[in-house]
Amino acid sequence: MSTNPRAFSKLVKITIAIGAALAALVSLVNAPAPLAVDSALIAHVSGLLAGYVVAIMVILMSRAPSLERGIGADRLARWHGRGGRVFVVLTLTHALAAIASWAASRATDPLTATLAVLGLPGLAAATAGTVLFLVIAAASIRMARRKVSYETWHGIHLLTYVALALSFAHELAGPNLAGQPIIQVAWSLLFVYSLALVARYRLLKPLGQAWRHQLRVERVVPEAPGVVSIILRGRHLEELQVEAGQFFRWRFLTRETWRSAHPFSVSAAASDNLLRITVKALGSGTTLLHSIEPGTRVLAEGPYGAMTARQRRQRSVLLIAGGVGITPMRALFEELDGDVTLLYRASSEADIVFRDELQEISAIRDGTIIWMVGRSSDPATSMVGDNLTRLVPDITDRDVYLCASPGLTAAVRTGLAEAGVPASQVHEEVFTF
Amino acid sequence: VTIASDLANRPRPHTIDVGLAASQVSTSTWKRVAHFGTVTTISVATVVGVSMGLAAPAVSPVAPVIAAAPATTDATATAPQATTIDATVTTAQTASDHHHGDGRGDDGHRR
Repeated sequence: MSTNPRAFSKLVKITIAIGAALAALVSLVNAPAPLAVDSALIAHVSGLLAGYVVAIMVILMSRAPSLERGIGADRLARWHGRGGRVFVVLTLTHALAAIASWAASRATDPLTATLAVLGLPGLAAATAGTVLFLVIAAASIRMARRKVSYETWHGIHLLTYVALALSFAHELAGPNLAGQPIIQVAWSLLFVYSLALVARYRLLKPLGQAWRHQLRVERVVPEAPGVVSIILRGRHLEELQVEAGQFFRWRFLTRETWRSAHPFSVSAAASDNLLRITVKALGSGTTLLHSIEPGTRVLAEGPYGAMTARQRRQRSVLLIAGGVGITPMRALFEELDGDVTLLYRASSEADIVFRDELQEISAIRDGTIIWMVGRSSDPATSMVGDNLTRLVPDITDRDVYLCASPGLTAAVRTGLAEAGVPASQVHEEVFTF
Repeated sequence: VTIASDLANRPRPHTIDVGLAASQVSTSTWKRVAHFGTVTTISVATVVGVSMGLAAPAVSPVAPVIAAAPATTDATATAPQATTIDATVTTAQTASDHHHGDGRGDDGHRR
């Protein structure tokens, strides 16, 4: 397991780009010669690229282990978000260019052209699919996301598969692919494989894991104000091969909580029959978990995440944790060998989680802990470059693992850059889906 | 040091019967089952994908209608209209031929 995540990310990006170039080329296969850049050509190229982007977005979110471990869930989610915006632009371009092309060829007005295009064979389903895709995209805009619950948003997002099915026939039987059996087979395989990945890793694997590991809540342990650890018991957990820094998506099967799966890092090295996660009450879903009953069945999807020892390239390591971001850092502090320093940022003494455990690990492994307690507005405890260099003089020679709130993460990133730490040495995973 | 494994040895407020039965399936068997699942998924997906691709139409249903458009965007042109109507008929026949025989590869419907 020595995959370099950055190299793997680059490889995946290049593969996606080559695929996009091939899709664009396919859209030119049936184009009339000489090639003219007109609205018809734009409609063909943008339409096929839109279809390709959808398939890639499904693959990115399929939770295939190679992608989740090689790239990281947060980066995949960001790629997916960007892909969504590209898809919307391509789809609207396709629709508008097709109408413009029709209007030009028939010398008619845009409204008449729109009605005529919508009346073409198979276009009704494709249009319904497109409308669904646009609804899904609208629900994913940040402003809209704030106004709907995760469950509602997720329910809307599941319509992606309906939209995909509605528009697929239009792609396969469209003027670009019709009459090209090899390309039609390749296009079908692209979509069927992407859906098979989803079925395999988002449906069959979690069900298989649930049956195999039989996870249940063992007990809930208060750690700090608003923070609890949930200890889970199961069987054959060694088969999961959990690495420090990784997380699962947890679904607690109670009437109130079964609908949503939350990502939580494993906060201690796993044993053959025990796992531990640590949860801060940040919303209604996580608050409910504080009173979860022992014996509650749990579905766990994972392990996921690329912020592991595999990212390490330097001999020395600095772990930076902010608040409940200590959970993966606690596991890494225990697992990483060599010279490891933990910088733990908390608002107050009471907010420190795992104080005793961290000191215990520090003593055993001869690690260093720097407690940075105080308000972020205090210059003495802010994450500016000068402070970081003062606290960790050899910071530029270290790999830096970072887990904190988005605001603190941004501040630390800036501070690390000021301190001269190359971006390639900074490893982070942000859970802001 | 494996702190989590020590969790089992810590004092507990109460014992919970989580009803775990010893698994009858060994790790090696479970891995074989998982591998079989992966191979089956890939095989089924390949068969479905290839079948769908081969069953896809050789002539686009929208092509005959699109082909009815004049070859030029010159709105004043009237003569090409007759030509393109002929093209529509030809294409439609080609599509029809395909459904009853081997029409693959006929892309004469393109504008």
